[in-house]
Amino acid sequence: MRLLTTRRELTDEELVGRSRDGDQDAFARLVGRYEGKIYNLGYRMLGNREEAEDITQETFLHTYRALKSFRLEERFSPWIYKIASNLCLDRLRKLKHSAASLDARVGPDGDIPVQVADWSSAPDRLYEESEARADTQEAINELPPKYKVVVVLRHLHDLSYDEIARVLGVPQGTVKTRLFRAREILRRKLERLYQQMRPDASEGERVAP
Amino acid sequence: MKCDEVYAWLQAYLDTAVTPEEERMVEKHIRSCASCRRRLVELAQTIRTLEKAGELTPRQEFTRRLMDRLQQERGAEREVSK
Repeated sequence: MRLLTTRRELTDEELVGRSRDGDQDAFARLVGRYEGKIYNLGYRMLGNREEAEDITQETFLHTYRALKSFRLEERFSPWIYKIASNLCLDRLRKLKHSAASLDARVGPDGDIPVQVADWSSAPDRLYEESEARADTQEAINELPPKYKVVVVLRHLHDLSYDEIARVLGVPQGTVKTRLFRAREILRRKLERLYQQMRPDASEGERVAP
Repeated sequence: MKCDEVYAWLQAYLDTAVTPEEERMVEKHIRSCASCRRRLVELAQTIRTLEKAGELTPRQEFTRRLMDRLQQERGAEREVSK
């Protein structure tokens, strides 16, 4: 039977304190709170479920091992995001190296991958929401990692400029520059996708009388 | 005011990260500049698409495996501290 309790929820930082003192349930509760968030971060950054699972496991192992170095006056959430983001960026660097040695899918500046999407069957299909989602993920996948991480933290995890700056260890100005560039790249990419999908989009805007 | 100059504010405007004065400036500019107005609308649309991308749920077996792995980690730790 579920016990009705008026106890307040423990904060993340309190759970860290208890985990450090050997309370196993406390760490399990932190996993419960953050597993979905870290998994989604991994998925958006790396683009598939297997990698996302891998990075989520790595993140919690790292977090667990590093519990002793966590300062209790800090906030837990930027800390775990930092661990997860760094692991994702490392993974992307490794993937890029192995991909670059296999084929030349990297653009001339070594940064932006050449678009390889196959749109041959696109005009026949209705542009449905699930497809919009897939296209969005594809557009995110193609962003250079340092732009990608900022967009993901801002728009899929709702972090502020300042929080992102702390997670990534860069100045706020850098966060803004990267975010603005990333959104501009995405705008152009998604705009092209929408137009491909909607042949009538090129018609002039209708003005209400 | 040139479009290039207003661009960063246009972007910050979307995050409601502008001062009231900057906000007025952006709004004044987009009233008179069709191309910036269109860019703003498209950027807003891009952000909406991103935010609608939705959340995935990890597979149940994954959560169980993760907890098992953490259990192992604790076991290993206890071995070391013996």
